[in-house]
Amino acid sequence: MLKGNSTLMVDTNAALSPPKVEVRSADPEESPRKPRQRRAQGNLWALWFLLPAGVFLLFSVAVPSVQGAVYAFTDWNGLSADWNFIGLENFADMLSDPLARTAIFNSLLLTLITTVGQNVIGLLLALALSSRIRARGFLRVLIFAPCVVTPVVVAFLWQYILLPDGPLNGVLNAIGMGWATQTWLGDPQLALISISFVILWQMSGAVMVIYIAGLQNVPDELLEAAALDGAGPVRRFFAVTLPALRPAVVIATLLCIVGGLKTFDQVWVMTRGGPGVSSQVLSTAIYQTAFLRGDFSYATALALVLALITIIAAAIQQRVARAGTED
Amino acid sequence: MTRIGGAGRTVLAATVVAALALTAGCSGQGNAASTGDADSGTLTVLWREGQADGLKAVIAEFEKQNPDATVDVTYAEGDAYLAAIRTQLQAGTAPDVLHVWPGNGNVAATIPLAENGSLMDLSDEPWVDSLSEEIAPYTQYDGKTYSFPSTLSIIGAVYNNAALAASGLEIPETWSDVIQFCEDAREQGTVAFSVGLTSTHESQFISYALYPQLVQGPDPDLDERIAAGETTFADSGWKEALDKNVEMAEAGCFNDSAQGADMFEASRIMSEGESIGMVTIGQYMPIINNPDLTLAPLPGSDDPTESRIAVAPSTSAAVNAKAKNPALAKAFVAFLATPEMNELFECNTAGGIGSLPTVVEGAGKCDDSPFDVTAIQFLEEGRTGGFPDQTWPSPDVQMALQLGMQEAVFGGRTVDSVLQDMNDALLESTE
Repeated sequence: MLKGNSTLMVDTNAALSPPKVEVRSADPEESPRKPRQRRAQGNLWALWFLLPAGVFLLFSVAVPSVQGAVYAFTDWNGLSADWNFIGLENFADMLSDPLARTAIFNSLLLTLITTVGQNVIGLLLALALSSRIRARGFLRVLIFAPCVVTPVVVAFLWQYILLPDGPLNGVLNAIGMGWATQTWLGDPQLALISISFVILWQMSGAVMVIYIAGLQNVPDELLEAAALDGAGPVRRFFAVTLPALRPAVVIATLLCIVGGLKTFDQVWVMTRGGPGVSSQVLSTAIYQTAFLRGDFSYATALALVLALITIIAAAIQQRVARAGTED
Repeated sequence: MTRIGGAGRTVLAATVVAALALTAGCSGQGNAASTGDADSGTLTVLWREGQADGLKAVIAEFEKQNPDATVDVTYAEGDAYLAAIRTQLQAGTAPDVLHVWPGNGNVAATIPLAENGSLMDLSDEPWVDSLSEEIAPYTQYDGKTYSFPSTLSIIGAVYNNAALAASGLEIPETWSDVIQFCEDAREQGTVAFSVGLTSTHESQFISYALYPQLVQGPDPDLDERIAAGETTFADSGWKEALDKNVEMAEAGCFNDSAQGADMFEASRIMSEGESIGMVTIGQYMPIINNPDLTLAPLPGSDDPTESRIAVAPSTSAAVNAKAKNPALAKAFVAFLATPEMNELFECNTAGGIGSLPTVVEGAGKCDDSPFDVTAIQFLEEGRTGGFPDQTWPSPDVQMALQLGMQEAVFGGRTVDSVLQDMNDALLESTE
């Protein structure tokens, strides 16, 4: 609904919220009880229907998570029946452990690159493929297609493409850009960037789909009104389109952040966190520590840190998004 | 928010109790082991995919001789195997017979698993006395035997005979020859040795090949002395071994794609003759898939008589301490440990190239390849050494070496920093 100010801001939340209906009875004493009783009965049935899923969730997620989290404060090696509580020693070790410090930094860096990259690329693709160009349906499918391929398969494919003697360097040499050839996965400075690129290549299509859906909700009459008022394409985008896309931005950003923080497949397949630890991220560090070094308690501590970072990142993102809607 | 009444709280309580009741059953202890029969029933095995052919041949014979016995095998490889075996042991769902590594230095090696009580004591088995004095320590913990090593694995310099003949060069016999060999190969437009450093363990093979001559020979008690604070890795032959690895890179010994290639690419390069050789382990033979190979030591000095080849026990069979069919499991391991089956296993693993049987006198039936003949010759001459990780107290030392040399080979970090990391890892694991 147009709020009628000169900046053409759109309150999309008001447009999307269902109207509230209040039911009043003639008897002021008796009438509040019956609807309340009916609501309580309905809630009870809902709870019973939720019971199987709730049991499964508690059994497979909540209880093992709590059990596992306890091990972060012990010296358990994953096999022995004997272990001791060691308090915060595992967390203190992280401060001086180059593997942990590098993994945390790389996880945040990779998440930043892939979140910003996927959102920018996805939005640009959505804008381009929402215009009246021919074959836009085919192009949407083509760009979305990599998303449905297993990340492990994509990682193996790109590992081959990025070989020093692989197709990418081959193409660069063929077009006279031999100076640009690199050891994409073997150079500590480039390994993580190369992996980030692969993630962007695969997953930008998914973000594009989210934004295409969001663009359907941008009112055409607002865009026309803005055009009539003399606003150019860029002004129309920032004044009309982008505010209308806020829900899509919230969803896409949150998915990218969570996806970036939990990245494992691409790193493990392409570099195993190497060379050295230059492309190590938290997920791969947890796996390596638990299963290749047998230090389960330290791996669990790293996993708790990853969970904490994810929660904090999601909370910040939600707060920023909510602050934006309250403006 | 709607308050949940008494009935709703009942549902919630029911959910929590049901979930906890389900998890209470997951004690991780597994079922109590029964004794079972030694010739009937179902035997479960967890084995490495790379040795599947050898095991299948032995299983076929076992089932023929024990018609009432059925063997079910699950295969895994690499990191997946390490994750599977420890997870299953902890959960109490591990099979009766397990592939383990000999000695220490690996989360699925004999010593750490035996130390945790995960393996059955096999000291009273008839085959224990057939193990040589050199091999026996790698099967034992606290004086008891826990595993049977089926093969000896070999690390050395492997040469593609066709590529070698085409180059007109000769296999280097001294360290100076190695550097000259590399330079000559470069001049011809080829490469002396292929390596794929994105596979983490590739970065250890040069130093492992030099270990018997430069480290173990001069100081066989090095690990104990480091643990006691009497010396360090930097003050040992490891310094020279790692420096020589870097010197080889500087001399152009390795393929230009070394930093970006993996073990499969490195193997392909050597197999197809794009490089003349590769410093590698016998277990790569199925991947290299080229039988026309020659094994030689990687010389660590200019005295050819000092050169050594690394030979050590490898693929080992152990019995789960909580095996559901312990009698049948022991019988299977004893069957595998007979000279006939030991030879059958080894011959069906990559055609027998790159490995040797452990309880067969002299050469096995399939050990007539130039690769194996050289290994046997060095064994008979007493010119072999072991693999260093099998005596390290934790996998962290090997990991420090592998990850460090991944960067150090081409100058990404210093050899001294790698040696310091190895020292720190060994000292931490012995605290």
